[in-house]
Amino acid sequence: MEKVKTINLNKEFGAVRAVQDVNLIINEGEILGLVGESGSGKSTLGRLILNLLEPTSGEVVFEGKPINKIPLSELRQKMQIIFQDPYSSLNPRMKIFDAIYEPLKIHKKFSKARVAELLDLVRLPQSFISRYPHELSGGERQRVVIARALALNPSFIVCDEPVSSLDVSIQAEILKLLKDLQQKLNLTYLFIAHDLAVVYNFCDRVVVMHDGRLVEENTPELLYKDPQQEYTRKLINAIPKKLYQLLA
Amino acid sequence: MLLEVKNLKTHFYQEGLPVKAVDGISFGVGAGEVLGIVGESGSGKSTVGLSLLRLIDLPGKIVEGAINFEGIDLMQLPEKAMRNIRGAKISMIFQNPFTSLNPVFTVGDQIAETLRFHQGLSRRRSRDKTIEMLKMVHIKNPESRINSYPHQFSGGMQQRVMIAMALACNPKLLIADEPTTALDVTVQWEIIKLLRELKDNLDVSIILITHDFSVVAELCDKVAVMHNGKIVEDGNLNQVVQRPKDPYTQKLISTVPRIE
Repeated sequence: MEKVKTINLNKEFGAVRAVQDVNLIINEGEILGLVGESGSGKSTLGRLILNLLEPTSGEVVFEGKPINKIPLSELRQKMQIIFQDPYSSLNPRMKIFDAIYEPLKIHKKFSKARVAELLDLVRLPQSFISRYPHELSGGERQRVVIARALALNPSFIVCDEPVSSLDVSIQAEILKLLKDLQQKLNLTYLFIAHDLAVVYNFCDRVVVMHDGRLVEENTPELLYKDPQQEYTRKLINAIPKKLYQLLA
Repeated sequence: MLLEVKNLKTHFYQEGLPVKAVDGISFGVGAGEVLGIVGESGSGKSTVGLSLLRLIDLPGKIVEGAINFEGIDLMQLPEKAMRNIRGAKISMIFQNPFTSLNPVFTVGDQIAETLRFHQGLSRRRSRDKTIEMLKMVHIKNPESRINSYPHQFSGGMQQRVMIAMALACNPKLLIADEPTTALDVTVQWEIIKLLRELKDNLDVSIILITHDFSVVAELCDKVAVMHNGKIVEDGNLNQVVQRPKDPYTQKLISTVPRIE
């Protein structure tokens, strides 16, 4: 089943055509990787899909309905986003409990037990509820952000470079958590990244974006083995490989 | 040995109690060598870099240790003499080039400042040398680009400017603290290639501080793995990567995303 579909999606910021004629399908239960460099338009595409930005032209269809026909409160419960930088995604003056509780409060689902459940889900100790973000490491903060994103039981999450600002060793832990959650809760992810190596083991399918356009699509294995586009080749060549050679 | 560090301890004091960021480490860097210091956030690896330049401020303090550089113990030097080491003999670049550059001066002014301060060059000669440095780090049209401000450069270009500035006075040692971490993979690759080229062409040793073993493997001859302020393992690159002894080293290597 198609979870998300974009039809001839365009977004212009003044003279900049950030997203150009994007036709994309994200199937239910899949992890779709969206790869490109800074400025390729990948984050803009993510925001368009979430209706955080309005397209210049074209349409986003979510679960068969045009996204602008779905009431916003319903939409926000069904789709969520996790950003790159867990430092700026959490209010420094809010305790962890309040940060996770806030979406529940807004949607009038006043359940403190749900906060406890969410902490378990992201494997953080219950004692964290009374802490502030600055008392947590980057990886722990990202877990809090994930817990908050899951609070309303969404079925679709845009992960916008969720591990790019973390240490490699922490990246592995967060990716494992995201994968476990995806399977357990039957989630659909759009996973945005600039690093093909990160996407390789995590995604079912990958699309490559360049200058606002989707230029190539394939499974990670085939994309890596047999890239069709010059740009994809450039992304692959940029992966440091000496470590693999030493370990081979 | 160009640099020999013995039993370095740098502590930060919180409510009177020491946090032992660097807890008695020793290592050496030979001429032309590249040493990778690898560890996670909080392992103390950045504090090592700052300690070598004696850039630790209160509540932090270097409490013990010797830093022998070209036969002189930097710990014994008066602050004034240290200023002639920083930027001239040992220089440093950081993770985020955008916050390292001053937004209100042109990049040309910022590179020339180092040359005028350390080498007493005239305006004209420091300008010529600045253009030469920008050429070396492959910035196109350096004659006009010296008049650009940092925000007119991309992240990768800014890091090139930082590298040009750091190498302007022909230092013997470059400390690069996560120089590619804030950059896209494609730009990271360009910076790795540039550092490799500079290492081959210049008489400079490098200490590369990073959390990423895949970057270490591209550039380093030797590796020291840091965990909780201590070096838990060190040796030649091949030896550490192929036969890691410490479980922490094994974890850092095994968590690098693999493509088979």
